[in-house]
Amino acid sequence: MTRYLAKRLIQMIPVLLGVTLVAFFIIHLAPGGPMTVLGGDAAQLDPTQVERIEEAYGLNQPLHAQYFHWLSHVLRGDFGISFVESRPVMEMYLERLPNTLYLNGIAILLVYLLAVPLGAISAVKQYSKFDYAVTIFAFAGDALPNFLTALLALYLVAMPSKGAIPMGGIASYGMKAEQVGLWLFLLDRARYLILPLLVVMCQSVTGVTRYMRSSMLEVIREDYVQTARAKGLSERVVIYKHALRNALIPVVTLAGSVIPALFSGSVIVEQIFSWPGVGLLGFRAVAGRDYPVIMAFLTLGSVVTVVSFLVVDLLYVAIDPRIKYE
Amino acid sequence: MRKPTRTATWLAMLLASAMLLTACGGSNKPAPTAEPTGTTPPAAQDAPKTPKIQGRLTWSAVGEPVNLNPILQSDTNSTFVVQRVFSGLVMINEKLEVAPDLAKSWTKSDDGLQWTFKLRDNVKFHDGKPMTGEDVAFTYNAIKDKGYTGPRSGDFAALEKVEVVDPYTVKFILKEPFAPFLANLTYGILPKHIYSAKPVAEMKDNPANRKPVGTGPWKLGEWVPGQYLTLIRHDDFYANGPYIPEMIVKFVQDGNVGVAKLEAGEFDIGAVPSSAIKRFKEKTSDVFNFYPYQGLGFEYLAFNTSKPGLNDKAVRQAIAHAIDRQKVVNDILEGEGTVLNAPVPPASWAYSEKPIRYSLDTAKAVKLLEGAGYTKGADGIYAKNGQRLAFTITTNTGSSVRESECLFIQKALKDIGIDIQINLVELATFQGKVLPTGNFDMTLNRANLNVDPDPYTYFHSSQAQKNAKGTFVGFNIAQYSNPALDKLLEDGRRENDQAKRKAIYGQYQDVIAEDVPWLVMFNYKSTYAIKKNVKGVVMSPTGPTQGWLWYTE
Repeated sequence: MTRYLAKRLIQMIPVLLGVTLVAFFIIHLAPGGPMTVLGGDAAQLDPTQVERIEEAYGLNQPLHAQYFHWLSHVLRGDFGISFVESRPVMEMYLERLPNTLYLNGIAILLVYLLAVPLGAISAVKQYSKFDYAVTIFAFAGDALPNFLTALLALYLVAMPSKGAIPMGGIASYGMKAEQVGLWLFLLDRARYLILPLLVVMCQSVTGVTRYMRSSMLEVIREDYVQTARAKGLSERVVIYKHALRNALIPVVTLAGSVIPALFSGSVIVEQIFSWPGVGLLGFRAVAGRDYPVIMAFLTLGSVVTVVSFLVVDLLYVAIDPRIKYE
Repeated sequence: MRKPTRTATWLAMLLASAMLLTACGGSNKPAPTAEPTGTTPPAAQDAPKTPKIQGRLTWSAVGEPVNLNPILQSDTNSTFVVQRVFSGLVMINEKLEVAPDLAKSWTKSDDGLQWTFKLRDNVKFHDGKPMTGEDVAFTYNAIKDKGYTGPRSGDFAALEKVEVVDPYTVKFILKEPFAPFLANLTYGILPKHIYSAKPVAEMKDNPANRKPVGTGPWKLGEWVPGQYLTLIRHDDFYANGPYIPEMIVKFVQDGNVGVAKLEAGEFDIGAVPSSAIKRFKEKTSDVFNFYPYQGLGFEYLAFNTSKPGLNDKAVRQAIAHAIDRQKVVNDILEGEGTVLNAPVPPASWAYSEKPIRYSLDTAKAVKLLEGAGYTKGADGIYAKNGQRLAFTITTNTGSSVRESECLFIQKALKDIGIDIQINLVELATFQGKVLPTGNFDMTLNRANLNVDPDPYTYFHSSQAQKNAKGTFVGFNIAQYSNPALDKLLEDGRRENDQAKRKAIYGQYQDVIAEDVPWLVMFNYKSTYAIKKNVKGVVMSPTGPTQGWLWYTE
């Protein structure tokens, strides 16, 4: 097990190096550059100014030199200074990470709490009215893009509510727990959370529900479930003890792609609800060609992705005694 | 399951980037003030003797400021805050004239090379330190410094240096007479005592860029990234006011959501896009006053005059006669704009009514083509010597107005036998690769005329030359070359007498309308909605200004 872990950790190094290398070159090859953003109107820039700006930001170096310069700093934990905001990239990232964790953490927790029972019951009662309802809901949720659900939520819920449900932001101006008391503070937070939370959940619940349903359907046809029934165990024990636990294994795999989303945020939801999260930061960096921020966003995203796949693989051992790593 | 999720994330990023780019496209030269139009009462008339200092004003910003250093920043949101936190030597008043701000008066030498400014002696920075000539000289000499990394050095190419004569007198020395010079002195004055410890090359990393200390009517209160910032009254502001002690700037990330929030009353003031204005007025006219204004921004179709076909004046004139610009304004802008004949909008003092106006006349367009030797081919497209009149319009994605315009032009030109393809590219590519290299047949773009109307960079033949990197040294993207016009533009920027300049720029507008290197489409019109309890509002062609005169009831 230790050997396996060490091997996996070593394998991560070339993967991450490859990701940063490809990302770095693609980003720098994309047309435009921080110059067009830093310099404002193209009409106002004279060539000496462009050279000066390039020199100040190290952009006049050959690309590979820029990459190694970047890499050597990152290995020391320094993601550099944002071209656009002129302050440490890490500071910008960490300032927004709690907001993303707050929204997506609650969303993912509720998604699993809701989707696992929905999917399981739907499978056990296959072709019942309940099953049809869940399936229709799941397909509809998948088919609705979340920018549409978000805008619908704004126009159908927030706008008619006359301010009871705000249209965006994360808290009211001047709402501080020490001034208004904890309960008012939490209530205010909840008012802002509800719509983005529903929109984020709407799409993920449907996916996980369908996954859970098909996994459960597969498991309840297995021989050992029949055997359990033949032994005379109650249907309750058969389903919830034998079938459900096994059906959960593939759903755990999903966490491998869900956890990275926890850290990278959701650009569309964050944009429409003006939610100050990291997704928006990454997206604004792409639009503004803020290379250090884009690189930090992609690198941290890939680290989290690689690590969560490892965690998921390790979780298998905990859930399924048949799996062992040598 | 893994792969689609990541692809979806990227697609989402692309889509969202298109949406945001729409929101922040366009130019952003800070330029305060203009004549109040329509319903705007002049501030002085309805202001009582001394308004009470009370109330709070909530603004919205699509996006967020990034840098609050007046000589380094260039984006719209930073400009908004900087204009309220800093004061410049001069400002531009409601009539688009240069007016005193930190400088109370100025004189210039007869040769136009030395400008002496007398400063107010009662101006304090937000930290209590007095503002003197040292700060003025520091600010402008920083722009001239060889380590300077901001976008302003082009504006001050003619400036030699700034000297401090005494604490409240500064002298600007120019290398050559340069008429647009005075109107450029609006940039905020930096506090020397905060910035001078480090070389100018490191100014971009100074923490004071996010905690600005200025001399303006408001100081920065709290800045919560991603959410809002507050502006608090500067009690030692040199003039009367401000009467609004606190202003909040809330950041929204999507322009449409911003308008919806304005409609819901979450903001006290905001711009309403032309597409929403009718519905907005119907629903909210009991809450808001509306302040329309016609700014210095206009839309144009530029022709690459180095391309065969488009190098022919008759073809360009034929195109001008084929496009019904009034219909573009009515149908695409819902009437929120005005057809313009030359690249100077009426808000500018240099505006002339004389340039010829191309009205829709397809018969005349066809006659122009045939008169120039073009004959209609079997495919219905005109050609001469095997050269078909087939062109591509290249412009940026993310603007529904611009995309509709492309389709409109495509159809209109097909009617006179010119074939048009449309090529939409991402905004950064458009601004970084297409415009500066002239790699297009025709392009649709927006220009914002400066308060000083000098058009040298747009049409002087020297501005179409390319540097080692293959980009234009100026912005003559039409690659237009006309020795007579070159002479006019050179004279225009050396002439310090405004009446004479106006005559020169009148001739310039006639030349552009006649030769059509650009077909100017329309002058944008904008409308601000401001809550009814806000009084004393002063509006300019670029939006609200002189906020220290505003008050609430």
